Amino acid sequence: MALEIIDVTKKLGHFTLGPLSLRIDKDIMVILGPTGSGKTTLINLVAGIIKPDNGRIISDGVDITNKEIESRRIGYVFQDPTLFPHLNVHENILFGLKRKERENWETMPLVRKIIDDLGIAHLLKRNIVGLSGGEMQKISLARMLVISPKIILLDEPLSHLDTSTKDRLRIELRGILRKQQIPTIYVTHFEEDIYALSDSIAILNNGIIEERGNLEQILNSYIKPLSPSHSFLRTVTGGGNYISGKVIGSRNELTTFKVGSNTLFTVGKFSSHSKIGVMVKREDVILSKEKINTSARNMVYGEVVDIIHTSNVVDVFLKSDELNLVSRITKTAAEELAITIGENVYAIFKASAPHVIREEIDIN
Amino acid sequence: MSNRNPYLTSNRVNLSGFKLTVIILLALLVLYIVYPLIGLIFITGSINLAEELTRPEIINAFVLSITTATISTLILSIFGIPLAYALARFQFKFKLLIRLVVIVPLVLPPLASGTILLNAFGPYSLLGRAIPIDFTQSVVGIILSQIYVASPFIILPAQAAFEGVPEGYETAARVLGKKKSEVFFKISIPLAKTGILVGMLMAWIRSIGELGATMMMSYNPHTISIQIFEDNAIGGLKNTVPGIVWLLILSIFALTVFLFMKRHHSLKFGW
Repeated sequence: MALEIIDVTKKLGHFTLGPLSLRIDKDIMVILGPTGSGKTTLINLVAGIIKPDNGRIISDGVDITNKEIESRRIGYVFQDPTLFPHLNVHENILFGLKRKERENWETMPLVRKIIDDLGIAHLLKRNIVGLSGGEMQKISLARMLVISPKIILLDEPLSHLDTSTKDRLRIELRGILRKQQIPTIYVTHFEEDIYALSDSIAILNNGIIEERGNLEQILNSYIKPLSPSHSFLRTVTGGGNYISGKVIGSRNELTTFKVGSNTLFTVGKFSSHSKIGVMVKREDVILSKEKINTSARNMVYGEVVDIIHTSNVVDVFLKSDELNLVSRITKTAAEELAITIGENVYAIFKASAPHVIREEIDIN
Repeated sequence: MSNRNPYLTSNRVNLSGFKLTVIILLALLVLYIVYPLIGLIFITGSINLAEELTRPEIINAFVLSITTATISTLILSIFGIPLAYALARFQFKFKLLIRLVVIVPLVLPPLASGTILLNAFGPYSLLGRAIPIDFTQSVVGIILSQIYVASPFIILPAQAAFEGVPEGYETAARVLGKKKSEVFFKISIPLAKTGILVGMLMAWIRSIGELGATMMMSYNPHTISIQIFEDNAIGGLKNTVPGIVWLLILSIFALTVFLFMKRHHSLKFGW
């Protein structure tokens, strides 16, 4: 199963998308781009809601460029959940099925499994009115999964949710989407979504794919800052540090995880041997030339590999074994510390600073 | 202490001033509508209402009006609801022209509609001669008149209702594998339900009250409106009471049906 987009172009008023080519195999491609970059246009082309001016779209070896929307078998989760307000939760979930299937849904293992995986069994009899934003998006996910789609498209499904729901659902979402083994496009303008969900990444700007790669390549950009031509990617990955490590254990709501030879701590409980991904804001990382005794749990001794001065702050890039970190300090602090490239310093942050956004249990 | 707060005090004064204005306006209008009905009660006292209400020509006219209005509303629904949907959703040539055509029966005085209908369907007209059906002085004539005059009453509310349905729901349903026709019946109609029902009810009531066009097309058999018109001509106001009472009973019934339907939002179509 694969989705191929070949030389597709679409003109909408003054905006032109493409020419654009992408191939997505059975994994999750996160397409990151600013508002107005053509993200929604791109997935609407795949869904058939709009037709391309040129180019072809191939799903599972079949040319679907001119197929009607309803015969494409697309699982589309919109920014708004678009749950049908005149139907209750279970009628919404079963909407895409045939009448016979709807009547016998309880005997369909697939439907049961999706409902269980999403943890929405207790909502089935409820009306749409009164559900929380997170519940609505889960039902919207279930509704598209039950039709066994050949392609999954997600248009910033988490953008209208509050932060804590967003974080929780994002972690679940990766697990659920990974299980499907279906070509998936997730469009977003949030940097975190790259780390939380992606197998591969494409950066869309002004209707053109500016860059593509996988998570590792993006992470390398921490240590080898991107060239100025990659200005958009630089701004979107400018906010935080993404750190991925293996959980050693949890005690007292404190989880220990290892990144190479470094041991780090984060608040929360995660199962041993799972792999977690956390974000740490650049501003949350303190630098010190000497080892100091503080209440902060995390202390990393690393080499300064680069220092970048911007108008009013200084970004200091550190490397310690497999761990790359960026600390953002004020100009004054940088002058007083007098850090130079090549020397070793301590990077310190609290256990509450890392913000877990990815969790994978099925680690080999 | 707190009642010294100048904002709070002035707010209160404003609110009650506004309320008072609304109450006065409301009371005057309600009084204006109810006052003539009070006169009706005094007249009713001087006749044998039960006997009058069951007068055969009154009953016949009333049943005829309800039957023809129901048929007209059903025919109007079959043609008018898809037309309203097309006007709300599709872009096509001459759309503006069709919008204008739709409101013609609303703009024309019913009597004028009746004259042009008579000209088009009368026994000496092209259609009247070509088709061996009595278009005038018949039930068919009544229905034709009602459909003509009541059509905007269903099309306009239904169009507004369809325009109020976010297109995203229809797109989502199609992405989930439903054909355009299925989307129409399972999504668009149920979501526009209230507006459509309002339109159907208004068309039905308008059809029952129809006089002008029906008079030209089909004075006989008598509908309730024509019966009231004739009763008045023969015996004055006193004679019209039973027809009016029947229509009042009907309007209370119609209002109850409407409120009931509006309450039951879960009422589903096509699921």
